[in-house]
Amino acid sequence: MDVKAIGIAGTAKNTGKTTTLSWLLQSALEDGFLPAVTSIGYDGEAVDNVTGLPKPRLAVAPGMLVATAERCLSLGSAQLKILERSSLDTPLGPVFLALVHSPGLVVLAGPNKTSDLKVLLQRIREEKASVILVDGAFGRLAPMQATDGLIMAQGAARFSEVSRLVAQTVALAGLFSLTGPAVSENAEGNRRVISAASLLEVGVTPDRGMPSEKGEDALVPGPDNRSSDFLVNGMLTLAALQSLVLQIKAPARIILENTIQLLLSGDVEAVWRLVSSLAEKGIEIWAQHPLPLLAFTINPFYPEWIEGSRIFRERYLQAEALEAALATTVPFPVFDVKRNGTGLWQLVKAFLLKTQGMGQY
Amino acid sequence: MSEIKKKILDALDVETFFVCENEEEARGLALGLMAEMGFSQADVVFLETKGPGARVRVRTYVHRPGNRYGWL
Amino acid sequence: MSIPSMTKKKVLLAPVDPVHDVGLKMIRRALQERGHEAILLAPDLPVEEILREIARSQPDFVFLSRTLGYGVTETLARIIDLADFAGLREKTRFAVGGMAIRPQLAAELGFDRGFGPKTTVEEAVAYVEGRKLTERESGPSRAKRNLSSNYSYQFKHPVISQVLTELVARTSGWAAVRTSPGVKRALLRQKILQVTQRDETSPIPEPVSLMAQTPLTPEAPFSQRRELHELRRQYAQLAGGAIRAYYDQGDLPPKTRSLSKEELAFLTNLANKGKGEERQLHLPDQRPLIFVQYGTGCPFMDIAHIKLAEAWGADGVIHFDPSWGARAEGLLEGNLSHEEDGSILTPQNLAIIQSSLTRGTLWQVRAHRGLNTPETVVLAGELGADLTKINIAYGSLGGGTDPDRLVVDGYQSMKLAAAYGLPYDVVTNEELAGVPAHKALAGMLISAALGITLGGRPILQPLFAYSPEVMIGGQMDDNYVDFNAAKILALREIIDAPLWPGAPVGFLTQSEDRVQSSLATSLHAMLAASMGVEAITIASSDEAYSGGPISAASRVDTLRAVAEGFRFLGAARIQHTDRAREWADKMVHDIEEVLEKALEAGSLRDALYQGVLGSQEDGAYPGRAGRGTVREIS
Repeated sequence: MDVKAIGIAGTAKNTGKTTTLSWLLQSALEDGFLPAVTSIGYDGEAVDNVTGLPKPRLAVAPGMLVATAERCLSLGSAQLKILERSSLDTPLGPVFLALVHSPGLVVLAGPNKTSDLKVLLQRIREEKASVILVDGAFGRLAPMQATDGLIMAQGAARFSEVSRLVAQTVALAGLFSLTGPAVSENAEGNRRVISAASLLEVGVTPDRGMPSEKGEDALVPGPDNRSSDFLVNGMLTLAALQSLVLQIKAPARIILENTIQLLLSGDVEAVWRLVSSLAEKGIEIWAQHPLPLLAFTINPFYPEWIEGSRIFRERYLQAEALEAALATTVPFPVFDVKRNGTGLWQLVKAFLLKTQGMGQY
Repeated sequence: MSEIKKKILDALDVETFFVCENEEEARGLALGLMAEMGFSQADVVFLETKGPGARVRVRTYVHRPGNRYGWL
Repeated sequence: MSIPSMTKKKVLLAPVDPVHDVGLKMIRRALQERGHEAILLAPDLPVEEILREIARSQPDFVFLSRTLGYGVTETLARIIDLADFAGLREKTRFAVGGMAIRPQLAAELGFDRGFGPKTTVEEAVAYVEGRKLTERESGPSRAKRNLSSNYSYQFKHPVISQVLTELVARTSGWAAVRTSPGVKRALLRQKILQVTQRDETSPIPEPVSLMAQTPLTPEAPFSQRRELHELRRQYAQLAGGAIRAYYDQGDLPPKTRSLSKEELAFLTNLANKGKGEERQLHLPDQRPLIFVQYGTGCPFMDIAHIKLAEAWGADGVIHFDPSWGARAEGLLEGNLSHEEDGSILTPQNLAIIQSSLTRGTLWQVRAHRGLNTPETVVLAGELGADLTKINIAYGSLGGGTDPDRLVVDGYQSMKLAAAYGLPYDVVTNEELAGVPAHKALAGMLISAALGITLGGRPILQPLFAYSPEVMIGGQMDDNYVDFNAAKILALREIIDAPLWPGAPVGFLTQSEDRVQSSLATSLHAMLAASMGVEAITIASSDEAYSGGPISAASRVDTLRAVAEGFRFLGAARIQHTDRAREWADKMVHDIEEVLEKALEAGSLRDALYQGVLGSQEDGAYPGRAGRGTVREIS
């Protein structure tokens, strides 16, 4: 069975990734699923590493698989039976695959780069699990490429102003919606492959024009005035994208590797503004291997920096208003798991049943 | 005992400078401060009154040797 | 020193910060010295530009440095994310360093490695070279230093040497044919420990097995229990009231309790705290080693204090028993906690403390100064201590023990220590009672000479202190340096032996103020370093506070202060004035005179009783504890 991995990414720290993970995990267990868990960073500390405020820790049940780093193994209260020491390394020691023996809390620190996460997921799929939940870290997204579906944890920790928060969520949702067919580099047509490194050059010095390492190819449509395809591979920055847009002539199609490439390119709202303006210029843009976004979760909590006492303080936005504002503007389901998370699990379950056929043990 | 206090290995020291008239007042302020913070068993470790007031270090033991330690 | 070209690495160093790039510059220098290629980028470049450089130069390692604030972490996370997406993490390993960086945060940010504020340049280089820190780089505490091995123990002053030889001969002649309850108990203790350890493969008993095999538990084999029961019965007959009550009825002295099973279950966890994070206060071959006394009263609190002392750089720790231990005949057994200063000497307490020590930490198990000296040496020897302590003069004159008793017990203790190969220090704390330095040093030299003759390796412990002698005589009116230095100079003229000023250094110069107290300790440590002595014992910044137990934080205070002192001093030296030389010459002369008088009196015991080594006028009184307990061996 092709067990799916669900990533829980955040737009920033403290946006509720671990709370969402915790909720999904409990819901999955109650529904007869056997989840496995890991993290692309480190989570589960009693107190946040940066703000010093208390953070949730993850409760696990017997029979579950946990992949975590050596130095986290002894930190939780759950008894773990070690199955294997992997070759994947982290600043907290190698990642171990362990079976939960008695219930309790665990601290997660897993592989923090894409290639390592791929290796780990493949290994977990050989064991007994019906879904793999992958906790995010900060606003990091790159390793989530290795997952099969994503939940984005959005929260007031990103922006404590409701309007900004909504605007950013709308932008994110917009970028996740840019999907389109895969295009082969070798397919017929006027097609150019743009490499990451060359775009980086452009990215930092937009006025220098496109690089001409391979010569002189003008970025113009072909003689038949058919639409040109620009396949962008690797790392992309907003400046590079802007530069590219300036130099191509419509009609054209910019075809990205995947959604995450676009999300990483820069400030999400600025990217979304640029992308939204392309249609009227006759330029289409999409990600050919989009990572399915299942839902947003929303966390009204944010840490407020108190200058006088030089500490962070817990603050909350008005939860209902926030949820309502997002529900009407964002074309994806939005959940505040602390208030009404039931739907989130139903949604994830439906996704699992659809993509992997079954799931329950 | 609070979860945070449990983590104190042994003693909690509070150090400050009180604007005050004399040593006696400073001692009262120091012990009063600790009492306000919920530490009735406090002791002045160091006190030096000069100029505008007193440099003071006051202490309470959360765990003494032989106790059952919250951090264990 | 450079490395083979095939292992040369390319390292890109990027300060993601407008100002803080000193650390990276130090690492660059070290890497270049080792033959690596190190490229330092300009500070505060945009994320995209840093990534472009990485993509262009394809380094083996990228080191980013940044002081953290909220928001900065996002920048670091984004660099990692972009690098990951671009495939740059496949060849290149990413490390981040900075004040707030810990491994947890590095993991969270997605780095391969995090370097915190205490990272040494050597650690960064070792990471690049893919190896663990070498012994030398990770500090001397990994390899225990032998304090006494570099000394010939030759007396250099002919007259003093001759007088001491005669005094030692007379003292030995008298003591060798005598015994005491203390000596007999030591031999019984040796047997008890040997029976409990008989089936152990390790010479040092594991705490659990030792506990399991005490006859108080029914698990031990019957024959062993019977044998132990008999040994214990004999032991109890030689013990004093309170101790005897424990062996006879299981009564514990006041303010003492047994540790519970639950508490003991936490031992391993506690003992492992901070393992592998030790720091040293000085460079590998630098002197002096730093010792800390830990007797908090409770073995668990002791372990907590030991672990922090190790973590903050102490080279050695000293077991300190309750003051009543000096006057009580006999030692208790079991895992006992005590509510007042000094941790109870029992084989089980020592075993759990021993099990918590980081390999490389020197451990001194000492008798307080009295009636249990020989038995303490047995415990130190059997439980794997590195050092012990044997006092005769101080214990008799300032410690309240009868001189005859302590001469006999001291003599036997020295024989035991020699048999166990345990070096021991000989102190001069009677100075604190008012005995002039030259008399105290004379008493110490007689003990040391006796020990050397018996095949031992004594370590001399002159005081670095603001003693009554100098308070009255004014020798420290100008500075604390000269008179302390004079003691070292004087002893070096007399004998080639290791010196370990104590205990603790700066005694009576410290106040209740933590800054003053820590500074006073640090300055005395710097003087000790300047004089090239072998070791020192340092106080905590609670030294002058008598209202409660020494706190953990106050131990950190002085360890930090001493580290800073050593950092400040390096190979530079505090220079004493000519007065130190003059005082040293006078001291040598006065010591010679005292020793001559001791010889006139008869032997060491006569000198002690007659006040030659410290009179009642000086503030020294021959003790009474144990009087009348010495017996001639028939």
